[in-house]
Amino acid sequence: MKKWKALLSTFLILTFLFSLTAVTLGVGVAADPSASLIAYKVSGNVNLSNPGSESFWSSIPWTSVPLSANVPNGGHTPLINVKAAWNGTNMFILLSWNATQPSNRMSSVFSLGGGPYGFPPLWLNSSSGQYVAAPPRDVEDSIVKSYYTNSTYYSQDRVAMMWYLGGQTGTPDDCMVVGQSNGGALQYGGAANIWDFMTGATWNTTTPFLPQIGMNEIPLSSYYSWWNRNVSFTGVNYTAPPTGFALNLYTNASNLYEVGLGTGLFYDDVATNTTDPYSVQAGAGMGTGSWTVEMTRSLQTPQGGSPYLVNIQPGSTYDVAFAVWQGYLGENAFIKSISTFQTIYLSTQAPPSIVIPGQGIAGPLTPYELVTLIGLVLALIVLISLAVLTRRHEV
Amino acid sequence: MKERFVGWWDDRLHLKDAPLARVPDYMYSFNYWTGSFVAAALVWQIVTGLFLILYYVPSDPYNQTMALIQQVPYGSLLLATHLYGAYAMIFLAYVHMFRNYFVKAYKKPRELQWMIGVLLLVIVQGASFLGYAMTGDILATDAVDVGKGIMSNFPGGNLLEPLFFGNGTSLSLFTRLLGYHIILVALIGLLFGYHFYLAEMSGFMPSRKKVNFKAPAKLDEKDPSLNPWYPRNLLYMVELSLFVFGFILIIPSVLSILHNVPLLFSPYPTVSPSSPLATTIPAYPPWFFLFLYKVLDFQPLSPFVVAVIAAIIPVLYFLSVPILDRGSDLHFLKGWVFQAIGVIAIINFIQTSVWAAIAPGVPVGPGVYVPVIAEPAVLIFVGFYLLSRRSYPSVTHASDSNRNTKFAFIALVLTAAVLSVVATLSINNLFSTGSIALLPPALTGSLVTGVLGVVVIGYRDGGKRTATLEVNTEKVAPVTGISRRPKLGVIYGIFTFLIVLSAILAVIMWSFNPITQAAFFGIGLGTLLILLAEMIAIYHYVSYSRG
Repeated sequence: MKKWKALLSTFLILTFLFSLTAVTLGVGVAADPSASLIAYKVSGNVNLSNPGSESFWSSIPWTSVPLSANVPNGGHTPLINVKAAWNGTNMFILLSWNATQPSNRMSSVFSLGGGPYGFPPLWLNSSSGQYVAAPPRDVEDSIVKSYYTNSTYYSQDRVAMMWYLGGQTGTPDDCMVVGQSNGGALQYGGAANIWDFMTGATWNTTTPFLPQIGMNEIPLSSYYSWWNRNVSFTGVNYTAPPTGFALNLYTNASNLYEVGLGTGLFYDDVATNTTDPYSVQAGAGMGTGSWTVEMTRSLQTPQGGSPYLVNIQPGSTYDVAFAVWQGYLGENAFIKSISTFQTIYLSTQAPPSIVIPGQGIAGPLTPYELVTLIGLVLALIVLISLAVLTRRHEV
Repeated sequence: MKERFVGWWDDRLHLKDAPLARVPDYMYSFNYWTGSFVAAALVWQIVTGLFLILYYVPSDPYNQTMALIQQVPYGSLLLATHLYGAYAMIFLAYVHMFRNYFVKAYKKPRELQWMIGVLLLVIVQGASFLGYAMTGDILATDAVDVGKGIMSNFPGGNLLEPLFFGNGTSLSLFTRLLGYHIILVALIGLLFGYHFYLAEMSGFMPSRKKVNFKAPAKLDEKDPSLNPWYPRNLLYMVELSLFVFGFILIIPSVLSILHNVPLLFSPYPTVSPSSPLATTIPAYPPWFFLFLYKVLDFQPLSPFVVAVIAAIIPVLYFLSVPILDRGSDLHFLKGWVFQAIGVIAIINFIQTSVWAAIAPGVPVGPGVYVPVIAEPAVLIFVGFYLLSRRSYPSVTHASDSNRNTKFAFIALVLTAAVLSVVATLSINNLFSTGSIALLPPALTGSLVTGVLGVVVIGYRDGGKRTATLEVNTEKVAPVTGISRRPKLGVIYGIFTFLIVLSAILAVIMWSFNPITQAAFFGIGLGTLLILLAEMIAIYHYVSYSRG
């Protein structure tokens, strides 16, 4: 009998210690402990017209990812804050960073490929504060490709998230150096999918512009199917600014490609018109000195996107990296701030609520917190009642 | 004349010779009659179930169920109250079981009675699950799929699956569901009969204080103060049964006229599996299996392991508790481990049920569910251990009936609250429809009844305490309840009022359309039954109170 009691006591003490640890550490016990980012399972969907406003984000902490220059003149953004979540069908990424002079009404020739008919490429004239037609594409090309941005014109801000697709031995140790032949640090055989968000102008096509410069007129029939919709690349109606659009890119050790656009406007296309170019949707919010960008895509690889687009699975860990461009500070194309590779783990659990000193619990209680609380309250009620009844000798 | 009449019947029915239990005055309290609540719900289920069989068509269950609701007079009421009768039966059976568990009624000489009771609870849940699945809506389809999934993980599950769920066709599935439903109900009837027989033979378990907290706890059959089964026990059983019937009618009827009732408590089937809306309905089992549904989310446990941990082991434990806990002490905290396990079982049941309701089908890892389950358990174990170290006197001073009447008082306050809500809702309905003809007097009456019921029970409290004083020979301190006893004139006034109200209700409730307003009829009939129960309670009080 004594043995039995000793065993029971040991079991109870161990259980108590384990549960105490688990509660203290939250769901981290069940998550991949080595992952630097955790995407929690949440209910609901994103609101791309007001990024970050969704209630589930409030219970997910920011993770700060340091950034640094990849080439001289870059590295103007020291860090980017990241949150990640998924709702069973879609992946959500929330990004935020400080920008010296964010602007949202420009689009560069280089990034927009000159723009199709009706979409004037714009740069911001930093001395006058006016948006002006961008220089001819060959001029801009020469500017950006010589790693130079003059004081008059600058490009739009951008942010990108790279999903490493594998193909080389071990975890890649550098990233985001893409866009030129063998320009990436990815070794031979390595490949990645990039969600590239450009904070640019998006116009309603009911107010067409004549082509300003640079591009030959593109017949309506050829681009209306993918461009001239009631939605922009972001999936959000043309109510912007401040919005932009996300490109779905693919890179390997050789070059950078667009996936699904089938235009070659930005880069060569790897899967011409077989993949929905809008599979990554995005929205942006511009503060006085910051950007908040939200991107979403289905967990499963969009149809026709394999092997160029990442297939995201709950319970798995991925290598990801981030890059930020600040156009005002002369960053464009290869000049930017990049992170090293991070690991992101898709947890099957809901996010823990965060206790903010002085403000209490942020975000709604998660189901498991709620039921733990219910259990503890019930247990306390029973114990207090019992204590009162035994004092009165009622039981 | 009366003697001749009674004698004629007694010569033929031999009721006086039947082994029906006699009880002392202090036992006329809900606390001692939890089993009769369950029995009343069973009676309701059998009666409504027999009518429902007439309309059930296994080849087209969903459409026929909807036709029953939409085209058959009072069909919707029949179906909704059959569902809520099952819910009531399960809930009351849990209450009955845990009440007897915590007073240790499973000890000598009621061990077998206890075991049969546990088996009954299991079978009742099985029968309810089958009945729930018989409507063929999307929830039923999901429930069958989950059941199949669990069974296929059992050893030999591939053989069992066609036996229980048929050859894959809809007809074979629903024919089997109906067949097994009836078979299990028949089994419930048989086991209930034996359970009831044993209960009457062993007699009611007396207050533990009366037996100095020692098993075997039995009433002294030679005690002349014990009341014969007829008429008081019969009267009390009828009173309690009418309460149960009343609530079984009122609750689903009220829910059916409310908007946005949570899916779990909807009194009617939801959409068909072939409906486009079916994809928007989350897979929910009935509420009494929610706990199992959540434990199925516990990773990396297989469904078989889940069934063993969350269903088979608990059932085996409760079945064998008379063997495990063989001490004779009836104090709550003597042998506290068993009591703690009971409390933890309830808490974990509530936790996992709530969890499944708010996060159905979301898998969780051991880092989450172990703390959820273990923390209250550890708290209870530690708390019970510390409390058990106190000493206990063998005789106590408090009056049982005092506590019991408080329980009854609280129950009636809740009744009043529910009925008040009903009345308010009905008034809202009146204004929204704009038709004076729809004024449901039954609902107005229910509000009055609820308040009156509270008053009546409050007075009964005083009377009962007086009666306890006279019956008990222990030295009990005088109580002040006597002073609260109302004058007979007041009681007769209330009684007359209830009769008039019931008569009005009994006439007017038939004015509701039997198809489109069956819910109002249900509220009216339910209220009428509660009024009758209250009148019996008053009669009981006036006739037998010794104050």
